[in-house]
Amino acid sequence: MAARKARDFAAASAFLVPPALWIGVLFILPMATMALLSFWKVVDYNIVAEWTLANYERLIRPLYLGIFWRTIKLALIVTFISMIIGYPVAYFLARKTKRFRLTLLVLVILPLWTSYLVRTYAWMLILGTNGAINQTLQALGLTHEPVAWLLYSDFAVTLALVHIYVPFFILPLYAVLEKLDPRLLEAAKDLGGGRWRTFLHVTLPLSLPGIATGCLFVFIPSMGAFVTPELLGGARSIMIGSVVAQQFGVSFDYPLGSAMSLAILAIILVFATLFLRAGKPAGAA
Amino acid sequence: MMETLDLNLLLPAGMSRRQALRALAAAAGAGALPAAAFAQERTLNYFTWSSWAEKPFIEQAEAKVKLDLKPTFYSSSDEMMAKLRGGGTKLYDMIVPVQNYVHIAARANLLEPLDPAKMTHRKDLFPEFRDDPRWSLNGKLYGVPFVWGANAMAYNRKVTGDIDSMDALFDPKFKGRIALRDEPEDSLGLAALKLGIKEPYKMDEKALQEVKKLLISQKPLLRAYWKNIADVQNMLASGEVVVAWTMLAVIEPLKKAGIDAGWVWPKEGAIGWSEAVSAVRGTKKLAAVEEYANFTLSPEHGEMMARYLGYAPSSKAAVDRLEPELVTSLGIDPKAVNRLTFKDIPLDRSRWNDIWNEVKAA
Repeated sequence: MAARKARDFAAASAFLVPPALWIGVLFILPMATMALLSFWKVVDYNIVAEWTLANYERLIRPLYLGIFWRTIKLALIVTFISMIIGYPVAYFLARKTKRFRLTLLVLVILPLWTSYLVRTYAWMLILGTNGAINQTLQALGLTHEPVAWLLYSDFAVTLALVHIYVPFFILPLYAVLEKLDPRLLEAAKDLGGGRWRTFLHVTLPLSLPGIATGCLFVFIPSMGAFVTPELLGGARSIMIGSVVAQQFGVSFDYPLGSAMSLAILAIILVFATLFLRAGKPAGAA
Repeated sequence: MMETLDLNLLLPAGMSRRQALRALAAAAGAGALPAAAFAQERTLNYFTWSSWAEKPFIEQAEAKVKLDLKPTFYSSSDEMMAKLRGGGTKLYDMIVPVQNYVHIAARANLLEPLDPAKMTHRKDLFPEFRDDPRWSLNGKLYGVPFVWGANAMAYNRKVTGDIDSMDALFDPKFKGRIALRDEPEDSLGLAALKLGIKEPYKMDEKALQEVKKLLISQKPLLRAYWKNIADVQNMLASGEVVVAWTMLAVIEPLKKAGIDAGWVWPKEGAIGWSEAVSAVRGTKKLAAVEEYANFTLSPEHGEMMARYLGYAPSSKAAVDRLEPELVTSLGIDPKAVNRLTFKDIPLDRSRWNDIWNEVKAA
């Protein structure tokens, strides 16, 4: 009996050690390093282990608070638009297709096969003053001057981020909608619920967990985005991700960068809690 | 070591390294000199900008000084710093820093000092580069610049006409078609020059605030702040931007793309840079690194670089080999060196970064 218990324990450990190592080395260790760094400082391009709160003081100055606020706003807008676009797509895929479902799903995933960077650069070709959209508009005589705000603007950043992250909204929602018990929908119909009522009172509440997960999957990377705003953003499109990258690059201020990263993490945790709470299926405690 | 160096210099031109090694091995008696160890000694792991490892550079090093350069690239000074700190000192023998990173890297214990006596070509340099204090620290020499240049203005002549002043960067005529660099030292530096501040990198808070005001007032005219040299080149090539603060490297590709690209050091001043071969801390091949560092100062290396890449050699002997028209067309007038403000480490770097972020967030 005891021997068997020991064997079970050994077997369990064998399975648990790799993931524990994985999480420890690749997640907890870097996080702890960052937390530590955020209380240190840089002198003459050397990181000095002297305790200070200066990095957090710098963080709460209007300058960086402003950039945090801008970033949160933009990430929320990207999340909202992804939801508006992603929901109907996921719904259609899960409930209205049969024969082409697999093909359509592959089409949703397909953009993820090309590099993030390539897709960002592609938008430059589309949105530029001599880009596809402006040339079409001018050829149609709709504008005489090229529309400048298409590229190097918040518009361009939002558009590209939605394009890049919308599959991450669609997929988890699709998974939820696809598993939706058809008997519930039939019951709603039997009880005289029209299409809209069934949707509003049955489908939508039941798909809330999918919406919440999708929102999270879009909001988190948007909060940290830095390549897209740097490439497509204009003179005003600064986001906190770029400022963090700057601290780990040109500015060589790892402590400030670490403090900022932890602040981003805290913001994400707050929003994650909000999303998940809002996403609790109706009726669940 | 020295013996083998001398032997190399005596080798007939056109003899390949392999042939040389074979001849050498025969001369020394088979087995007396392990060929592999010898080749190893002449192989340098070269952490550098891609320009300095283009084919002609590698070939010249092999042909003239019998050195086998194995390049790895970085595309920004911070990348160089980050990788050196992250264990790169064990991987590389030499690097090519920009002058404002030399003191930083030396203080961070990433560089090995060079023996000034080995830099025999130093005497041929323009005086400005012979004893540049930015390349020494505490009496130790960390490099002698072989190349120099300026960050200045590129423009699309068809749209802007000829330009000689920074005013073009602040001209409402070019609204939405102007780009600056997303880097505090460059952009705050040029704005300071525009305001007539003599030593931008020693600015006090009051001057910094004026610079900030000027840059914020310019923002409605800007298309973007560029981060990567390829991006500003694209902006100029596609016509998104007609005047930009950038580097000389964009000009040739733009001309090849059919753009009438102009390049000017505005009369208000330009931001200078110089680069040199430096030895990485702990390299076991310091003598070979010094040999190559010295070779980069030679007239033949300078001439090849100017002809092939259009960069200005610090060697007067190299510039003397170029036709006057070429010197003018490349914009490498050495007499103009005193018009440059060489990029330095600002007094308060984190303050500069905050000011720059304030400009960008405004």
